[in-house]
Amino acid sequence: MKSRLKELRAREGYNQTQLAKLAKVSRQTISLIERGEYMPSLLIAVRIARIFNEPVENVFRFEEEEF
Amino acid sequence: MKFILQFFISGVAGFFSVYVLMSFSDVHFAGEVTVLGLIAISIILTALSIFRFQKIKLLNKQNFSGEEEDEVEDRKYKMFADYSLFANISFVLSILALSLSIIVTHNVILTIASLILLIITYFLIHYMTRLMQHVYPERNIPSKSDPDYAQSVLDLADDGEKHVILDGLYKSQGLLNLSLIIAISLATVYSVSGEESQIFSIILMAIVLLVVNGKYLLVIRNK
Repeated sequence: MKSRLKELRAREGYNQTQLAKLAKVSRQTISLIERGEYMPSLLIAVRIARIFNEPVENVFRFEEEEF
Repeated sequence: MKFILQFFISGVAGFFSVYVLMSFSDVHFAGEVTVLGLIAISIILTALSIFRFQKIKLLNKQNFSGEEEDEVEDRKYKMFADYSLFANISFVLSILALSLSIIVTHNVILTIASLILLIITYFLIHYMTRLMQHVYPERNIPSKSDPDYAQSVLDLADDGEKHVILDGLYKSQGLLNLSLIIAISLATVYSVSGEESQIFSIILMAIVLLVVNGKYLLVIRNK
């Protein structure tokens, strides 16, 4: 899974700490997601997508073989 | 560079503390030198953890924004982890120093010094809750007196943090098993080779192995 978190954060001008507060998670979790070391739960994924006003599948992208 | 400076200052503190202890206690043999070495290392680690504590408090008084805020949050997190590591190692070394000074050296001054260090390091570990509040000011960290403290702290962690905790615990569980099995094997070889019998410590280590694995497997089984 790849995420566009870093790119979307830059677009909206959020740092990791600000995004973490908005998504009600820790900064560490945001950092792990960005580095591809942790796949967020559905709830966190939807929360993040809503913050960026994007559909979930536009924020988190999967390779075909992952399905 | 800062770490080297802190290590140097802590080393000087450790050296002088041990030098004073050596002056007032009559050091004769390897056992006492070992206890003094353990006390010195423990003092150095205690000083390093206090440096970390002060630095976290200092960073909390300043305001940062943008990428710098993320870097500072990352530094605070790592310094808190360092503090926990140093305080825990220092605590274990103090216990070891106290045990050795009671069993081997019978030196009252070394025993008292080890005991004082043990009390200090215990309070450092106890103070981790307060420091956690500095690192995570927005969280309602439970009090150490909470009867279900460990569970309450775990409940505060979010999914990503739990993922990191699980990774760490899983690896340390494997390491603990392997270390205890090696320790039992070595103690058996030591006993068989004609030295003093280690049967009591072998039984204790086996009990620890049983309790730790039993607890882990029961939690897994009942979920």
